[in-house]
Amino acid sequence: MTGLKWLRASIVLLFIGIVCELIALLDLTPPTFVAFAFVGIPCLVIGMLIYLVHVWRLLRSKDAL
Amino acid sequence: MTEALPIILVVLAAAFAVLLWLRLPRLVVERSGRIVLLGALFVMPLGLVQVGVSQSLHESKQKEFCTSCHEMEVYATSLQIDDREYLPAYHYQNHLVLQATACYTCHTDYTMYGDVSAKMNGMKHLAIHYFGDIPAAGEIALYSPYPNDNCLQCHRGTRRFEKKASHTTSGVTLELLYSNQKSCVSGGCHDKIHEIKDLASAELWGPPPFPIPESLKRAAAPGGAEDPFAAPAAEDPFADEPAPAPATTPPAGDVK
Repeated sequence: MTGLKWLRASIVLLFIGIVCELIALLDLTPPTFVAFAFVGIPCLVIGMLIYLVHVWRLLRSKDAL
Repeated sequence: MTEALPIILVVLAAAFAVLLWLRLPRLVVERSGRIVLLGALFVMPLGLVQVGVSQSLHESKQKEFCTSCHEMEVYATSLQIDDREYLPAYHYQNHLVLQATACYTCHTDYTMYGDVSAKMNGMKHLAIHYFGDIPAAGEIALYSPYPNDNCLQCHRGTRRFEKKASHTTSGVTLELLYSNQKSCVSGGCHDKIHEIKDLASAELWGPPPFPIPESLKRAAAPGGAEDPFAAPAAEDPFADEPAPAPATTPPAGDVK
């Protein structure tokens, strides 16, 4: 995947995570809590990690690190 | 407005995501665009995770969260029993525990990993709720005996607790209670807990927060034959003895 594709994957994951979190925060019930804990948080964390890895690889390719 | 708020927020989040998606080729080459990406793809989600976790953990301690499962409704209703011998009801009605977090206060083990273990048990309950066999009203049992530490987190060292005669007499010592060798909720002590079987016949302090299940009402009805909670009938101590022979007057001619 190119850099842009990775970033787009990150956007999609973060969007899914934010939607799960919004639903959980606005109407917290056991199912929405579980959805947030097992879908929302992993999506948010993986989305952030993808972005960080992308930045790290970019900086390395430019000998900035 | 409140009903529409989730939809508005989701639409805004979606619009922002689409905007990022479409403007991405330009954002990655511009300096200001990279700052926007840093904020949108790292700083904002990091803050959202922190806020979301702390808020959802806080909300999940509320009584309403516990009673949002149908199976827990009878336990919430049992907190309204108008009898001071019923331990949870007495604590709840007199604000000896915070009413808003009453379930969490008494049912989370007061240990280092008590919160984590309560959450894991909650996941198990949810799995049973959706995929397992749900026990009948009042037949839900604890995984392990109720630990005294959950009571002692408030009562330990208090004057009223330590000076109470029943805590230091008839085989009970403070050491036994503090070391969990004698349970606070053992028979003869504080043994009236939620007592769901009594719910239909008990007087309540105020209107019940949830309707009492019909199965409990039938069980409490006089002569209810299908009482699943009925105590086993006391054995008749004379059952094994032969019935006394009816008194008969011997015929006059047999008398010797």
